[in-house]
Amino acid sequence: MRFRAVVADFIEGRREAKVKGTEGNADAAAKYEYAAWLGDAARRVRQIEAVTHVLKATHPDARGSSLHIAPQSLPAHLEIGSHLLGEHFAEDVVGNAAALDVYKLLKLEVDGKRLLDWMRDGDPDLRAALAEDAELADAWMHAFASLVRHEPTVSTHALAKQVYWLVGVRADHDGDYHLLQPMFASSLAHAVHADIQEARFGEGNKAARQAFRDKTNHAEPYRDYRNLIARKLGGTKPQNVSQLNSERGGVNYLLASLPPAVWVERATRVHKQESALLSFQWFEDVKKRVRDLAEFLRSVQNQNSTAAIRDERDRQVQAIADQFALFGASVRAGYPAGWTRDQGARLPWCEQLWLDPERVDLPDRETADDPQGRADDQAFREDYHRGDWCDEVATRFAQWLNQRLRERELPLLAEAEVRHWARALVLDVTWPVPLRRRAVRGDA
Amino acid sequence: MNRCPSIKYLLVLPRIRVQNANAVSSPLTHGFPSMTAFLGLSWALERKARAAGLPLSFRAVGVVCHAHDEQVTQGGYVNSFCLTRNPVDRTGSTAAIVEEGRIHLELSLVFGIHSDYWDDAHRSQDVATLWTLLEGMRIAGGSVLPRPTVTARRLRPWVVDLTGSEDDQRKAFREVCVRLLPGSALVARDDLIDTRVEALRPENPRANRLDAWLSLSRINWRHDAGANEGKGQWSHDRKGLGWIVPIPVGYGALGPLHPAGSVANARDGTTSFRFVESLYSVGEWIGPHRLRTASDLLWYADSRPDEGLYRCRNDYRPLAAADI
Amino acid sequence: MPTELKTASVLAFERKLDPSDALFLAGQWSQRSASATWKSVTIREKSVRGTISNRLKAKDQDAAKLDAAIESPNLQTVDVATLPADADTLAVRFTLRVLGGTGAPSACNEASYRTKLLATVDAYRQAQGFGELARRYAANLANGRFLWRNRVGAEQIEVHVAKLEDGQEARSWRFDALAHKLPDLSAPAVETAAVAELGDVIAAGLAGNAHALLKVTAYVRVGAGQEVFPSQELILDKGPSKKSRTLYQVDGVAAIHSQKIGNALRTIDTWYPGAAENGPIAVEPYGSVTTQGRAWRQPKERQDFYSLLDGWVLKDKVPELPQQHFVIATLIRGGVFGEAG
Repeated sequence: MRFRAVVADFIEGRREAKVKGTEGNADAAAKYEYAAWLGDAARRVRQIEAVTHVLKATHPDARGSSLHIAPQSLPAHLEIGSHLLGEHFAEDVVGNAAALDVYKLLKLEVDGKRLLDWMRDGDPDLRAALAEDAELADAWMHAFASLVRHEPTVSTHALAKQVYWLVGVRADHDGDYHLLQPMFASSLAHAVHADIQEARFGEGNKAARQAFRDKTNHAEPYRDYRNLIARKLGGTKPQNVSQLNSERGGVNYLLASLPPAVWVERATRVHKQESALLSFQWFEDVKKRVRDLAEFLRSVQNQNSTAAIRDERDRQVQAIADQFALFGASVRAGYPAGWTRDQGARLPWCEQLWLDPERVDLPDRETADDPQGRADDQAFREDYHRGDWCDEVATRFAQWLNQRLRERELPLLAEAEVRHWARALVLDVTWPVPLRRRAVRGDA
Repeated sequence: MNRCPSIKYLLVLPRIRVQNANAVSSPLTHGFPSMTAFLGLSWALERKARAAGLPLSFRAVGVVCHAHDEQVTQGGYVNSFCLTRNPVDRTGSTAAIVEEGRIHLELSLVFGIHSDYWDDAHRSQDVATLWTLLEGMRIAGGSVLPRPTVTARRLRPWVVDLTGSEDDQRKAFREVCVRLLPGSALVARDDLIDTRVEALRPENPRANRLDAWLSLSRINWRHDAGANEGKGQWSHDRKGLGWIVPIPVGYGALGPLHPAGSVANARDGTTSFRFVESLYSVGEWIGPHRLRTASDLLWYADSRPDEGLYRCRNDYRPLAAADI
Repeated sequence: MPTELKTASVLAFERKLDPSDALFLAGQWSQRSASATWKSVTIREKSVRGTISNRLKAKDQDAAKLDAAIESPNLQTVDVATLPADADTLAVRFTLRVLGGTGAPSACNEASYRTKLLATVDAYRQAQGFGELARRYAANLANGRFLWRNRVGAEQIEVHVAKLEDGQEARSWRFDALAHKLPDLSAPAVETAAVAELGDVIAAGLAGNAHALLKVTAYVRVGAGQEVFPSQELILDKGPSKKSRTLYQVDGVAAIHSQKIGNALRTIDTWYPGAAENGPIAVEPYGSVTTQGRAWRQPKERQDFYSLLDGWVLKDKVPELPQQHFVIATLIRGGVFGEAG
């Protein structure tokens, strides 16, 4: 009779909570008589449904199927999803909030198993505990078990999200698509919500956060969720969406996928410099690469040159030259076309040509306003396309690198070879391609 | 397919400004539209292109973000979206507010295209056509803003031919990458979940992939009492990890495929229907100059209806330390 | 056997008038032709010492408390935007894309309904064209309705509209906005032709397959240093912030939301019951006006979008011409119209 005791206790609890102050009211008391209450509950249970995926979270006015999909029944994808929740997942309830007390009853555990599950398993002891009339007990049991439903026909709604997914190869073949309706995974959201809530308000993480702020010792890690957004589902009536949504206060936490704010490296601000190479060493990891090269050269200084040593040296030098080309591209990207027209640009002519190639696309300045400017613009375009600047810039790079080695009293690299590499790498990332170079590169 | 399909051309549409794109990419993430939205865009563009007489297959898409401005309240530990006032309903009272997140973006899109024909002579005209088509479309629900009247070379769309030698391809792709500076490209880092699960296991033998994903979605600070010359120091677990973020990567089925026409109120009666949920993984925002091949950048659809999987994939693999 | 035509349970349209956010610039009225060099208007915070003007709770109403409560300063911060001291004119600039394919749903799950709908819209297009609607949209560009509060109290307003083709200005128009009448969307005689021309461009965009692109700049002479009015953000959960007014900005530039621009442009409905007194309202399925907390087109009077559309498409009950305009304007507005909701 353990079942009957549990159910009777529950009903008594409801009675006490509800009938208080209306003692003597026979109608009210009769409602809480065992069979009467159960009969009513068996009717009302049809107004609610246990689910894992909630339609109304997408739009509170959407009508259609919500779903109960046991996580362990899903394929074990490598991606993150409801399947990872395993057996102990939070079950959600949708439907008429006034019938939620029935759900509370069915959630009660007997011998570690919910009444709902006993009902679904058709336990004979439970059946006997519900009603003496076997037919009636059967009907109730069936009704309660139907809290988890799998309707044979499902429906969706105009306000549900529905997306086309191309499963075939031809985007213009209508038959190559599946229509997918992404559902709000409430049980999964509940697990994520719990972790974030614990990080925000849990005593453990609060203590850790305090220690972190005070820069004091603490054994536990501090869990720091950044850029969270709390989206509200269901507005002022979260219970209209679902029971778990209501328990979450309607809060749907969203984790941040934001890209980093694009920040322009200081090293690429070169307009006040006398040479861009003065900034180059501060670009990304250039300093470290130069140091590594120097260390390598020192380590092999007294050895006979072998192919292996030469290859390693060349690889390192080319990697620095590659950074040099990239540095040029980054400088260019940080300025508008024509920025070197500015009187403040003190860079050598070859570097201006290198770092402001789109200036050749701009119309020349007007003779009337600025005769010197017009002449400069024409010279710029002509010199750009002549392309000698590539060699000059590459030479400056080679000399710059050798100067770094000279400072460290290391043997110098062959300038012609370094220049050759640097020129090729710089040209690789330069557009428009200087006219005289097109033949070399094979571009049209 | 779990390898990027064969691509012959890249169509690069640089620095598109998108207004009011959807910032809620899934029920658990915000801040950048889902890659599924960009795949959907590429399919829609292919349909329009074919209707306009351009037989091009859009097989993959990459995205580089140059600027973003999410419409959120500032300053709190937890923020909320700035909303737009909803019209009142027919009774004159405020209609249910469905919180929609919006974000303004400046993006470059790189479409991976396969085509037997696409001769040089027509290409620039075709690119202009494609550009016009795209301007009239929504990108992740947002509107494409017109370009400035004077279009600099860096704003012009162009096509990259990937039919040449390996060296030609490498150079051509490198040009794409540097022309899209400065910015951040989104790549897949599914590998991090495996490593994080392993890292969590010593302390929590039951840690699973969800725990690992959450762990990667936050910054975990630990105090090392011995650090800082014995004075102790808090340090975080992001060092050397790059700018990693939780992202949706497609959908997992929640049951069988329903025959076309059998589900009431489906968007059409001629396409098979399926309930799904978002699936998640980890992505990394990375400078485009760190990419080596087009497949590092491109995302493509991996559809496995039989396994209940509708997935966006990307083949980026981080360089081993030795390769750097 | 002919089956009875039924409405699509999923029916959605994309909006066909797609404006950008409108950005604020500041300069001199005399320098209107050089607005490329104008500086953007920024937003700053200021502290205000407000007085309590909201109704006091009953418990606060004894006299002594009342005085104290009223006198106690109600310190708050708000965002404000003003013109600089050396600029007397606000420029408000946006682009408007007019997309074609009006009447073709982006989603519709009844093929026969779709066919009938397209035929219905096509019949309207053949008989009426989009001329009347387009003229009204054009009027709302010319009259500067999209300026909202910035239109009030301005000394002069000049609206420049240019049609862009391949990034170049193909045609352009200028309007003296204050000479136009907001209540009946009418233009002064000298500008009627220009409004009609602009309307033709919009109509062609709505009908065509290629979209039209307009660049709109309104110059509003309000006086140096005057306050100007960008959109206000709607923030439900203010959190720890004490700011009572947050203004919209894009990259640090004060702006009006695109949605708000769109709302002004489609304020062309003068065909609803009560329009004679209330003036034009924005096209909405139920004629709802948020600021009035009222829906002017009630289903019980069969004047709402759903009743009119169903009558027209399903029952061949062709609405009177003004209501036809309203239905088509609602399709141009766009939205999810599945079942009446």
